[in-house]
Amino acid sequence: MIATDPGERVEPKPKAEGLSEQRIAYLEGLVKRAHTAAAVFTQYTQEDVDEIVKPMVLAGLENAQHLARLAVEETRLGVMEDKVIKNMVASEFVYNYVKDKKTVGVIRHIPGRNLVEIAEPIGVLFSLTPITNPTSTVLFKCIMAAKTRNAVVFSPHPKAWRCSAEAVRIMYETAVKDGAPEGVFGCVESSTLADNAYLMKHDQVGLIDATGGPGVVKAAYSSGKPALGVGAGNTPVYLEKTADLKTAVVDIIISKTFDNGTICASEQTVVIDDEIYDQVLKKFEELGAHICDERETEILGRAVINPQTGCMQPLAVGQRAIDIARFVGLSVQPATKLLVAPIKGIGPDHPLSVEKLFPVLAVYRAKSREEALKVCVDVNHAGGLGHTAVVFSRDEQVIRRFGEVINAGRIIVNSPGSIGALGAVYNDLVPTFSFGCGTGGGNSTTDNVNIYHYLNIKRLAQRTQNHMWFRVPNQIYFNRNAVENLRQFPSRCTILVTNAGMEQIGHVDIVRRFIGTKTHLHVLVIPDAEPEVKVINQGVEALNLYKADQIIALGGGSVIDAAKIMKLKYESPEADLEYLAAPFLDLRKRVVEYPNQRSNRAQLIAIPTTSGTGSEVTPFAVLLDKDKGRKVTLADYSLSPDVAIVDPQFVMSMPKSLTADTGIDCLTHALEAGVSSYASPYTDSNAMQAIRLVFRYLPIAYENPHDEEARCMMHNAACIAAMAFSNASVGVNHALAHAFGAMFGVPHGRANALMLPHVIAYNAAVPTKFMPSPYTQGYTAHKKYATVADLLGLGGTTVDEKVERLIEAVKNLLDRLGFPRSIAELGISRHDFEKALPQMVNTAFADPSWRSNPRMPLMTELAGLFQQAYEGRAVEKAGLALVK
Amino acid sequence: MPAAIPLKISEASVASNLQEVKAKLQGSDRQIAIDFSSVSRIDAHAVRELKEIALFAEEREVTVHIHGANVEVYKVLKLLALTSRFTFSG
Repeated sequence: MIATDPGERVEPKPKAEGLSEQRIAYLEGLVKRAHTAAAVFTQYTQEDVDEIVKPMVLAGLENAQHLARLAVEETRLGVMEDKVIKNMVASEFVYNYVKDKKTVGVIRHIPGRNLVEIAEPIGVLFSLTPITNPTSTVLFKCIMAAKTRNAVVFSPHPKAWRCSAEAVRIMYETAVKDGAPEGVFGCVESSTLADNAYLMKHDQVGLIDATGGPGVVKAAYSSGKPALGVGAGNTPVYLEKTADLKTAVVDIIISKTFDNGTICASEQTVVIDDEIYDQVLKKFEELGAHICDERETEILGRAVINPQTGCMQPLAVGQRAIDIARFVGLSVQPATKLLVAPIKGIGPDHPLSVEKLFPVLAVYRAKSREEALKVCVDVNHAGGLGHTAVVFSRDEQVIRRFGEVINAGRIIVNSPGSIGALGAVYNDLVPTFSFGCGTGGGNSTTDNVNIYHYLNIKRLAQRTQNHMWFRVPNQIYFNRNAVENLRQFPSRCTILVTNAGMEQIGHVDIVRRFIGTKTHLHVLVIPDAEPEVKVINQGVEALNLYKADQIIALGGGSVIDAAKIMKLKYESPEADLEYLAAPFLDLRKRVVEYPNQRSNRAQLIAIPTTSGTGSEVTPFAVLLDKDKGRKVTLADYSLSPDVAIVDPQFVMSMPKSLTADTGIDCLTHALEAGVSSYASPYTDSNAMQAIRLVFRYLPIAYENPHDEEARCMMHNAACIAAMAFSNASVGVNHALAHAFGAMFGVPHGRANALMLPHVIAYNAAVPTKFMPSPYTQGYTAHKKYATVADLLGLGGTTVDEKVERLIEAVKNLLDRLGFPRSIAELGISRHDFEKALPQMVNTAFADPSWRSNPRMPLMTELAGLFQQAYEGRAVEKAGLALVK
Repeated sequence: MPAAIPLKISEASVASNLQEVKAKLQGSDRQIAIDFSSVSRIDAHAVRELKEIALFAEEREVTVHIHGANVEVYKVLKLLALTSRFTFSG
């Protein structure tokens, strides 16, 4: 019968192989008490905890000698005086580290990242403690557990359980006296492997903290429980020729003889540079070491290392050098404190090259620095991976190189390995009695195990907004005759990029009038189409030929885009356009970086001759790669023109269809920027103003092309809308229009117009999938459309009504401008459309434009929007238009 | 909400108050209500009493309702898998 506490349901128990019912009941009792204590402990404050910990530390100090004596008497290992020091370090030094640390509630604020860290105790720890440090490890772990509000069930090494249990008792009684929960520490008496296996798998154990040999650590990690496993080492030491030898030799002796070498971080093989080898051995001898000859080394190796396992003989662990010498039959001086054994290699043929937790030190004579480092690597890999290493040198490069090639959690520099690794004595490492050995040692950490390993650290992550921006060219000249401002920009040589039409209608001559007489002006006429690589290269050749310091782009979006890319390649010839066009999600986190080194410099002045793309202020440029049959979109604020001249005299002669197409492109820019997930008050003000101007002036400019005010305002509207979408981006309308336009060769503005009413309805509806966006508070697209309706004075009382009226207003505008209202009206057959649909959906989904859309489009929804656009008005009349 | 009048638990004597509750379980009431609103923290003794109350209540098919337990106390009971043994309010 398994005993359980009253009131508890019987939980499934771990396998209890080899355990009697009485033993299981005993173990269950320990865990239950600890489990209750851990639960009660969760209510404690930082002040409560600190009031408990300090008396525990004082009790540890008061009992340091008592516990050390018990440990030596029971284990017959080590040096009583050194164990006193260990107990004191485990109490005082650990306390000094933890006393001001926060371990309850909020433990850290990270204001810059809006993060708050909060401590959560683990609950019940199952802790295995070693024979080599049986009381200091207990003191250390009890103090850490109390500080972190955890309960511990200890399982001491079976040959050290009495002294360990006494240490647990002292800590427990002190802690409970000062308010710790009853049952907070418990100790398994005379534990067995079966006990440990049972407890390691116990449901109510939260973490296994195993300090001990490889078997214990492996068992901990194999249990399926979270574990801190801290195991064996094999510390290599590089004694380099520039080292301070007097200090080095004394430090090594201090460390290797401390508690008779029982600390697993102590030195095992010292690799000594040839030049100082004899001198070092002489110093060892002078300070009480016995230098073994070849025969003695062989005898020693055979005796203290098990030839079958290659591991140290337990009988030798923690024994005095003189006793070991006597045991193996070596004749040494009575005051001998260390046996130094020269070896000629590392590995099974050189038994003393492994870990030896007793005062036997292997030494190796290295002919060169490279050999020394390689031998240290060999020692490191012969059972010491991840643990500890030591280097003595005055050469920082040597120290750094050693640190890079040796895999050890602690690389102790110019100080004793064992005491150095414990931390807080010879260096600023965190004080510990458990050395994490990283994955090399089969452990989960390389840290000196400390209070933070006894905590679940929770992070309160406040919603943050990355900084935003509003970036536009720093000089924008607008209204009629703004071109006169060209006089402000003196230049030695200017390349005017334009197309043939601009020359024919006299626009080039207008520009030429305002170029200074001292400026050499070269006119580069390019095709009136999306720029190709060949055209860009021609432009760059011209720029290089004339060593131009200024580029004027006079034309529509394609000409200005071409000039942007020419400038990029002229200033940074190494720029790889395809690489720079790599996709990205957030401009701030983009993988590719645009070049910031410039071998040439040229100012770019953009003079648009259409009122739509806004390329004169945008950071975008589209390039046609004919060889690969695709368009490459470049986006970077370094592409933005330096100066924009928005002079309506250059658009007075735009044909009606171009006026309508570009005007609707402008409206789409503004509407999409307005509801974009990147919209800001800065972009909103521009978007709203542009929308207002388009509704007021586009019909006039379309119907009366010579109306100067309407032309001027539409020209301004295009630029203002572009300022909005340069910073807030566009949306799904553009993704659809790009895909459809490319498939059927439909002009961009016209393609936008076909999608626009459907996209407004789509965005205004409750999304199937919301777009993740830290910048928006809730879903606002429908409300923003309603705001647009209000701005336009469209009436309506509810948001839905206002959205409906905006859609109607857009439709009326499109009708007034003579747009086809369905794809079918363009003469595209249903068959051709259906055939192209899957490809268009894929292309639209791959288009980056929708990534700032307020609603995340599903591919089926993109297909639905295309279908609506195909049917257009006919379907709307049937009431099927809106995707809801 | 249970009809029974809640038995007020005092911060100063949680464990002994709970012993009184345990005694009540011997009676004929099918519902017992305990008012924890004055208790900021419970210790291992209180936990032990609550475990016994849970056990007796289950044996006698009595519903034990805890009113006003703060979240810290509730979390202790949760960690010890005891919340399913009681009903809670407040």
